[in-house]
Amino acid sequence: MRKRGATSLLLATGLGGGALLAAFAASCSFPSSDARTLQTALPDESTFAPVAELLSVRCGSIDCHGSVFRNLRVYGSTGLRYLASDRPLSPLCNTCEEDRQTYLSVVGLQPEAMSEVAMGADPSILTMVGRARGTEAHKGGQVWSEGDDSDVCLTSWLEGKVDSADCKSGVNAALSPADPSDDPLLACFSAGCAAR
Amino acid sequence: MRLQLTRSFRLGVAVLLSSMGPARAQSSPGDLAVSATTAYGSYADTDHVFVQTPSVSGVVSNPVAGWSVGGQYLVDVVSAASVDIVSTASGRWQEVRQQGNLDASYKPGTLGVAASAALSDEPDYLSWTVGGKITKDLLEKNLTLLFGYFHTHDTAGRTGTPFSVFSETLTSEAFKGAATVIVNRATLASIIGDVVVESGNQAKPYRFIPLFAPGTYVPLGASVDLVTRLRVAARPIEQLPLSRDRFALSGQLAHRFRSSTLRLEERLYLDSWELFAASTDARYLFDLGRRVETGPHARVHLQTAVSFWQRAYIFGPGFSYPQYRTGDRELGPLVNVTGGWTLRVGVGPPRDPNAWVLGFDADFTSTRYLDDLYVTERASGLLGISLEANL
Repeated sequence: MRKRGATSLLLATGLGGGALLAAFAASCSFPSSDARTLQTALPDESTFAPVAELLSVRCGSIDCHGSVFRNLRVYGSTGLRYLASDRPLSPLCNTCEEDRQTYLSVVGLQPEAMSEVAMGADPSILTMVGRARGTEAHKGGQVWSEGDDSDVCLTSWLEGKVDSADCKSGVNAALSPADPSDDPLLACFSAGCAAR
Repeated sequence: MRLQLTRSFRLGVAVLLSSMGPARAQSSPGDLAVSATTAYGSYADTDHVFVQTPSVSGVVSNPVAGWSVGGQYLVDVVSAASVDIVSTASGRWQEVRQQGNLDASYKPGTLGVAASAALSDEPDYLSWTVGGKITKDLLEKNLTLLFGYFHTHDTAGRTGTPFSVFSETLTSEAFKGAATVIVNRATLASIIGDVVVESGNQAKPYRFIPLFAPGTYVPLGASVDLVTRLRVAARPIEQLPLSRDRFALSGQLAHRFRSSTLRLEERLYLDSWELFAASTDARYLFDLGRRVETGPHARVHLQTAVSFWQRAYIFGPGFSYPQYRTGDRELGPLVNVTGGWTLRVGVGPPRDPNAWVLGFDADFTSTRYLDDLYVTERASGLLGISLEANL
């Protein structure tokens, strides 16, 4: 009798548990499959060109972020071209579409955090800022230091007050050390992107 | 780096280790029983993931007094070049995870208590768990009730980056209730209920989700090249709900025939992300003389996708992203079938052949991913060898 009682109790427990599971399934509200997040706050795309130039020169070689396989894609005249018909440095400067694609990739990497930064949060919460500074592990190593021209170029743009001179200095530092001021790429800062 | 496939692998190792168990106690009343196990597990799959897992464990107990103390230490050496890694133009990586467990229990009569603690460490993940169980025998020990509670605290980071710079925290409270009944002299049945309440960010900090323009058709199992060609430039990091409640109900039945044992298990699972799963597991072991025990193992697992699962997420106009987005195949719809075999050979002296037991386990699993990018099926194998000793 004791065994039978125990078995009955077990069956009742199982049925009760199953009923609870079914009740949960029927009553629970699950995360919506079509819920969307609108990136309402964004860094300014219209002032992105000097930053795009910096990223292209500092990060966009074809073995780094100038690869379409990377999470962060960097297009530009010195690396990954947007149009298959374009060649390295021909056209010499980034095209507007290349800047646009790089912008999409930059703001789309951590969209929620990027919006926070655009609304005033510390840019260092972004992985791309930390990786470039070397405070976060980065396959390409430390690219620049916190507070130097390149870092200020990127973070000032994120904060909504881009300093084009810092971007130019950042590019300068990455060009030929012999006489970087002669590099024709520097002309792109005044020429702007080429519409195609 | 936490693997996409790690969960299924660890489940396999856990099953392997639990099936090995300590060698059967041979102690006289009042004596200490000491057992030790050393094991080696090896996992490989067609997604180029390889894991080697050596482990040691030991238990000291006094069956008459009703107490036992045990511990286990294992190392996972992982080498991976899975499609998730390759798709971001990264190369093969290797990583080592270490885990230690301590358990103690005391059950002098019908009431028993047990406590356990575990610590797991890998370069980008630290996890610890503490918990305990209470058991109570009723109806002349024909019914045993169990209640357990475990707290887990995980810290997830990125390899090479200190936790102080980047880390996410995940905590879970796990409650377990079980009732085990001795149906008759040869049959044991159990009902087990599990509730786990998780809180924190479970998204993988390495996982970025390809997005596509509206109207883009992305076929099942689309290759890395095709996804790369079709996706838009924005590739956001994975984003998951910050809480998850899990519920599971399992039934187990074990029956001892004259010279064999059959064990069946059915498990139903549902969580607050709308993932529903059913797992059926059967193991049959038969004796070949006094020294050999062997038999097959089979398992079928089916699951639906979480509510926010999509093979191809859309990047909408006006910088519109899916609020929740994942590339974790373990959250998608899948079916997997496992077949395996166990062999245990007593290599002890003639008076006690099972004082030393050599064990071999082999499990092969075929998984079909029903709505995924990159991979539609995966075959994996888990081989284990163990030596158990009553010292």
